[in-house]
Amino acid sequence: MTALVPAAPAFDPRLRVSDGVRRWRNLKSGLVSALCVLGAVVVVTPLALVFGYLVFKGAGSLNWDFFTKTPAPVGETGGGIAHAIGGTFLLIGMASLVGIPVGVLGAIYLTEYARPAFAARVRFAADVLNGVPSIVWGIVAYGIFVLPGGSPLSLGKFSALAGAATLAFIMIPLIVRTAEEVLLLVPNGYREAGLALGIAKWKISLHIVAKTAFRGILTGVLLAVARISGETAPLLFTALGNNDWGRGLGEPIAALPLQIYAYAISPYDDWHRQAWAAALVLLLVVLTMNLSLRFLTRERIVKVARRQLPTDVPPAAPVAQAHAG
Amino acid sequence: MSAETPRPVVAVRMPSAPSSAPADVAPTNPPAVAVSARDVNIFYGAKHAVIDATLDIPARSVTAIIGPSGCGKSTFLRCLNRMHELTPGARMTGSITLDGENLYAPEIDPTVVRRRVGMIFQKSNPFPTLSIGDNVTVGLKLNGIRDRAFLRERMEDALRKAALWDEVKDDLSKPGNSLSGGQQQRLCIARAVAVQPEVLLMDEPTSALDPIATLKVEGLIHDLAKNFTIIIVTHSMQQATRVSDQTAFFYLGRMVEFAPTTELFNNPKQKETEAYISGRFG
Ligand SMILES: Nc1ncnc2c1ncn2[C@@H]1O[C@H](COP(=O)(O)OP(=O)(O)O)[C@@H](O)[C@H]1O
Ligand SMILES: [Mg+2]
Repeated sequence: MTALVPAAPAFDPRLRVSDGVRRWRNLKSGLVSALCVLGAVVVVTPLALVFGYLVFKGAGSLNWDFFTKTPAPVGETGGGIAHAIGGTFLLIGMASLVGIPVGVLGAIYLTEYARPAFAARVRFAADVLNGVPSIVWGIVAYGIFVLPGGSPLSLGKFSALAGAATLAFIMIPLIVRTAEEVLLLVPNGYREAGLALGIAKWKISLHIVAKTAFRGILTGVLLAVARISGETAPLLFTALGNNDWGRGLGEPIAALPLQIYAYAISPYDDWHRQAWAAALVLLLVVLTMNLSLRFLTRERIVKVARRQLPTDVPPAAPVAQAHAG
Repeated sequence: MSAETPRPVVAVRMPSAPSSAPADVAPTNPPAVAVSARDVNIFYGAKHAVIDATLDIPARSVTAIIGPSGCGKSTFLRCLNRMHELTPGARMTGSITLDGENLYAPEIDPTVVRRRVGMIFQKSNPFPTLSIGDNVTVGLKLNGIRDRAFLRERMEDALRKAALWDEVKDDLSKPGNSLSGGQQQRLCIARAVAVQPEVLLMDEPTSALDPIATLKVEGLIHDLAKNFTIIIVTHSMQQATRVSDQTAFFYLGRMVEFAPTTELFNNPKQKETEAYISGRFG
């Protein structure tokens, strides 16, 4: 590193640069730094804008009734969206119950078991699915799950089940792709070490490989849950929406995005206000789920390690190495 | 290892001994052969990586495998616990027996082979999600052993055998990768020892360590040989002379010479061996 100091007499004069060149280089360096800062600002601004604007427009309509009551009859003010909050949780819960295990296990299959050629094909299919517009999911799900006689799976009517199934289908390829990426990052040395201990492969896949990639998988799962929490088009075609608590899984059910949509296109000022408030609630639901899951699964073990560095380390590389994993 | 597959009692093979000894009397005169490789050939697709290797490795001693880079040392080592089967396209012919039992018999589960023949890798790889203590017992736990007192006992025993107990006994719940490089490698040795294999394979176990940590691991290898049959691949001839009882020299995929270590280094029979140990190539 000391070779970078130009004062040494052995410095090759041909490597010397003029002041002009140096200024030009500094300018370029400053310019690139500025662009990076700008990029970071542009990334954070929309989040602040979205949140700030929703609070501005919606916070005023938030009150106890809003979270505990169902909508007031048309013409009356007041009422709440308890049924939509409940419906959203139910739909997300049912979709996650199927989508998360299928997605994660599918990804484990692809990275740990499948032949590379087959895995590449599944990866491609998942990428295509992830690019399918949600309105297309909606209309296809309508044909399969809702349209009477549309398929053997059809209930012949709008239903919570149809909505949850559609959301699960949207989730699965999202989770497969993100989980696969992080599973591939787990060093092969851990798999080999496990096998060399005579541990069965499926146990290594679950208890060692997936556990090592856990936080990355969790991030993918949370992104998928956030994504389906806001899906509207597929639910319009399947769960339909409901102005009250649904009467069962085979019946139409309310959801926050559907409620926001219905209120926003209505002609009533009070409903417009409630749409803003419902949007704020939806954002808070997603944020809360995200933050609480991250908090519950935070890595306690690593924090201990960072505080208490090994003291008997010989003065070689190992300190850096000790935390590389 | 009560919960595990019982090991069949097989008369120890003694190829060099006269066959007059009664078969049901356990032979008392060492060296007993632990691992016996016969005409082993290993291919990666069309690449012939190990050619006709035949080798009898004595029990409870240290056998070093030396040779220039790419001569097939790791490949040979990995077929001793069937780890090469994980490499797509790898193929092996010939036979390998452990205590007279064919490791490649069709009814043998490779998982069970690996429980009897453990392995230490070049790069230490303690599981980052597990504590130091759990790293040691993971092989037992994931094989269904739940008895806490037993696990605890095995953990301490393995850490002592790996000369790590005194350094970590107060930190057993810290993560495995919070240790220094040399300690991590000894933790990996403890982890392998905890499942009580008969043979320990080591593939350049000290090549990522500093000299002090290397010496510690070498001392450890010597002690481990009281309980285990150790086969160590090393690129360092000095290491081979320091730790091993006998040395096999591999060159271009062939096992060129196998002799007691002092003999091989002081009085090599083959001219390739002589050229290699005198530093003329490799
Ligand atoms: N996975 C593999 N695929 C193809 N060839 C391989 C593979 N692994 C090793 N080889 C080749 O086999 C030969 C022996 O390799 P290896 O056993 O790793 O040598 P060593 O451990 O003695 O350095 C080398 O020529 C190497 O290029
Ligand atoms: Mg090697």
